[in-house]
Amino acid sequence: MPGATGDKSLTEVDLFSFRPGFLKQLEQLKVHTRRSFLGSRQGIHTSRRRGHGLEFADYRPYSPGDDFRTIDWNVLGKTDRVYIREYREEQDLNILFLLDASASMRFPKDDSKLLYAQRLLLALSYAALSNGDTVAISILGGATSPRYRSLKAISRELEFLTANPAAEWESLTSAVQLGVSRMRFPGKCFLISDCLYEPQELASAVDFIRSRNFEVSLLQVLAPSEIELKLPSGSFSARDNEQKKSISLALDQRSAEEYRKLLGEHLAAIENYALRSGVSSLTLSSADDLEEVILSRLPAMGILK
Amino acid sequence: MMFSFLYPLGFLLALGIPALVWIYLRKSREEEIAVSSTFLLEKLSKRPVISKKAEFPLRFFLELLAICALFLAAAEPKWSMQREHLALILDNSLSMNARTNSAETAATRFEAAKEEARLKTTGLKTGADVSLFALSKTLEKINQQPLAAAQAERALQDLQPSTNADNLLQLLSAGGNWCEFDRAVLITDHAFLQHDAQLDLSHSVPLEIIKVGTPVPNLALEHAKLLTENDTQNLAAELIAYGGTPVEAELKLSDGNGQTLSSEHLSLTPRERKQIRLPLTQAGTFRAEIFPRSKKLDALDADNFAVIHTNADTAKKILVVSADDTGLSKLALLSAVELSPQSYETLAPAERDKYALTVFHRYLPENLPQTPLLVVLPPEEHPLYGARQLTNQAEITSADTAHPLTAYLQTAALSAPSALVFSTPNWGQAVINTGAGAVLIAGDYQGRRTAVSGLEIFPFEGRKTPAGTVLTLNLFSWLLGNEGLAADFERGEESNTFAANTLELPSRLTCSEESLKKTDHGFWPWFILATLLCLFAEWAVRSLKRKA
Repeated sequence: MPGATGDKSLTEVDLFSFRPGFLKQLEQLKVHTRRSFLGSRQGIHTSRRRGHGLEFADYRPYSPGDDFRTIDWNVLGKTDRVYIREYREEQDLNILFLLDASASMRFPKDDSKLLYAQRLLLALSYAALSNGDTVAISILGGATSPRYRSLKAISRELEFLTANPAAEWESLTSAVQLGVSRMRFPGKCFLISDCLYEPQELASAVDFIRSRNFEVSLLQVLAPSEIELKLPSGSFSARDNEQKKSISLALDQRSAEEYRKLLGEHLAAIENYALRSGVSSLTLSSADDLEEVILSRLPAMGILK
Repeated sequence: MMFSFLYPLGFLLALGIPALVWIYLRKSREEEIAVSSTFLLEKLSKRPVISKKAEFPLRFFLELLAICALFLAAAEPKWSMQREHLALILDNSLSMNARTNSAETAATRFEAAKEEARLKTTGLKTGADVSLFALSKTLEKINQQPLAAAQAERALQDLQPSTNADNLLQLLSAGGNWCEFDRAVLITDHAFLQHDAQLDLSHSVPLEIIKVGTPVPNLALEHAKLLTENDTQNLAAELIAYGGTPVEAELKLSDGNGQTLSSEHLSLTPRERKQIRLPLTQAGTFRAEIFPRSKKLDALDADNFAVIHTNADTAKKILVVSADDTGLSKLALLSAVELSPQSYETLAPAERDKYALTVFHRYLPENLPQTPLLVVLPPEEHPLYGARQLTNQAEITSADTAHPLTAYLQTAALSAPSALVFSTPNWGQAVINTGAGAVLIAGDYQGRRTAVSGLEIFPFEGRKTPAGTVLTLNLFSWLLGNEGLAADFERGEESNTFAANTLELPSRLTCSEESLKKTDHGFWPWFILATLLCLFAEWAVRSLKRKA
C-alpha cells in the first residue's frame, strides 16, 4: 500500500484491503465530470481556463506578446487575419467526499454500511489521487480533512477515516453546509449515505451543494436487510439504532411485499429528484462486489472513465 | 345432574396459568429488535394492510388449553346423572342419651345430633335427596324412599334415641350398597381410631363423621347378674365412676312392687370400679338402682339400674313354637327354653299341655294348649284377639304402668318400624298401645294367662336390647306366675354404653363394584386426551412457523 508503514492499525488494513490488480485498474480510471471546473494546479481535467492544453477552446485575434506557436496559419491563409488558437488548460479536479457516518450507517456492527462506504470512498479517492486530483473528505456532522493531492496521502486519508469513525447530525442540510463551506473551489461532490430520511431533506441538502457549483453524485448504500425486509412475523418492538427510539410493529406475511413497495417508492422519489436536478445517483447494497461497482457500474453511469 | 370433582387438589395445577402468562409477557417484552433506522418501518406501520394489533397468539392459547385440560383431568371431574343423595346416619344408641355437658339442663347428645343433621339437610342443594339411618343395634333405614330436604327435617324431629348398645364399627364395615349415595354423614359420639382396620378406605362414598358430645362424668351400674354364693343368691354388679371427680351415690335395692329393700351410701373415687353384692333373700324380681348425689356427675340415667329375677326352685319349661327360627337360637341357651324343631301339630295334646308356658311365634294352631300362652305376631285372624292389622305407626303412645308386664320397662324404647295392632278383646286388656291400637294385650283367656304381642320380641339379645329383654322377661315372669325360671337365667344385664370421647377419622364406606359403575361418568381420560391434542397442535404450529 503506498505510503503504508508497518505500524498501521488493523482497521486501516481492513479498510484498504484491495487487490494489487484492482489498484492498478483504479489508476487507469479518472473521475469524470460533465462540466469543467477550475482547478488549482495542472491536472488531467479540461478546465474552463484558457491556456496550454490539448483541447481546442476558441480562436482569438492575435495580440502582441502571444505565443507564435499558437497562430493558426490556415486561418491566416484563408482570411489574411492573424488568430491564435486557444486551448483549455488541463487542471486538477477538486473532489469532495461527503460521508454519512451516522448510527444508521454503522449498522449492523459486524458488516456495517459505513465500512462499505469507506472502502468505496477510498477506492474512488485512490483513482482520483492517482490522476492528480485533489481530494477532501468531510464527515457529515463531524470533521473535515485537509486536501489531499497525491497518492502518498492515502495513508493520511486512512488515518482520518479511522480517527473519525462516527458522527451524528440532526439536519442533513446543516451538516452538508458545514462540509461544503470549507471547500474553496467547486468541483465534484460525492455524497455517500444510506439516504434513509425524507427525500425533501435530501433534496434540500443536494440543492445546497449544487448551489455551490458542485457536480453531485449520490451514492446510496443500503444493507441487504434494508433492501429485503428480514424481520420476523409477529409483534415486536423495533429500536432505531440512530434515534434511539422504538416503535411497535406487528408484521405478517404481507409485510415484506409492502416494505418492498415502500422502499421502491422512496428510491423512486430520490431517483426522480436526481433526474430533475441532473444529479447522478446510484443505489448500492453493502453486499455488492465493490470492484464490480467501481470498474463497471460507475463507469457505465459516467462517473468514472 | 350433579357435577363434582373427586380430587379438587388437582386445581393446584392451575398455578401453571400465571406462570405461562408471565413467560409470554417476558417473551413479548424482550422481543426488541435493533434496526438501522425505523424511517421506512414507521411508514410501513401506517399502511392500512399492516395491522397494529398483535398477531393472535395461537401457541399461547394452545398451551393455556393444555394446562386447563391437565388440571381438570387431575381434579377428576365426575358427572352424576343422579341428584345428590345424602345418607344421614344418626347414632341413636344408649350413649346418645347422655347430656352433652355436665350441666343438668344440657341437651342430650341425640338432640345435638339431630340439630347437626338438620343443618346438613338445610345446606343441601335444591333437588337433593336424603336417606335417614338410625344406627344402634342395627343399621336401620328410616325412610323407604329418598326424602327431600324438607321431608328429612320433619322425619328428624320424629327420631328418638334408643336404649340399645351400639356396634358402630361392625355395622359400618358390614358393607352394603352405599354407593347409591354421593356422600354420607355419620353423627355419633363414638370414638374412631385412626387406623381402624375395620373401616376400609377405598372406592366408596366419602364419609363425614360429626362428633357430638364431650367427655362427661357418668355413674354406671354394669355387669349385673345373679350370683349364688354359699347358697345365697346375690345381685352382683359393678359400679363405675367415669370422670375425674369423686362421686357420692346411694344404692337402692327394690322388689317387683317398687318397695325399697335396702339402701346403701357409696363413695367412689374417680374411675373407681366398686363391686357390690346385694343379697336377695326371696324369689322374685329385683331392681338395683344407683342415685348420684349430684346429677352433674351422671350424664346418663339409663345405665343406673339393673333388674334381676331370682328363680325359687322348680324349673319350668317353656315351649317356643315358631314359623321360622329367626333369632331363637339365643333363646335356646336358656335352660328353661326348649325349641320345638318338629311340627307342633304332631305333638299329642298331653305333650303340649305339660309345659309351663307355650310361646307361639308367627304361628297359631287351630287348637290352643291349656298352658299359659304368649302369642307373638300371629299370622292371621283368630278369635283370641279379634281384629288385627299391620301398622307403621308403631310408636308407643301409652301403657298401663300398673300392670306387671310394664314393670321396669321403658315403653318408649319398644317402638319399632311396624307392628300388629289388635282390638281389645273382652278377656283381656290393652297393656301397651300405639296410636293405631294395642300392640300388647294380656289377660285370662279361657282360664289361662294369655298375652298377645304385636311387637317382635325376638331375637332375644339380652343386654343388647334392654327394653325388649325386660318385656320378654316380664312376659315370662307374669305368664309363669312369677314362679321363675332356671337359676342360670341371666337377666337385667347392663347396657354397656356410657359417655365417651370421640376422635375424628376421615373414613369411607365400602361399596360394591357393581354400584360403582352405575351412573357416574368420569371425564379425566378425555381431559388427558385434550391436553395431548393441544400440545400436539402447539408443536405443529411451532414447526410451521420455523419453516416459514
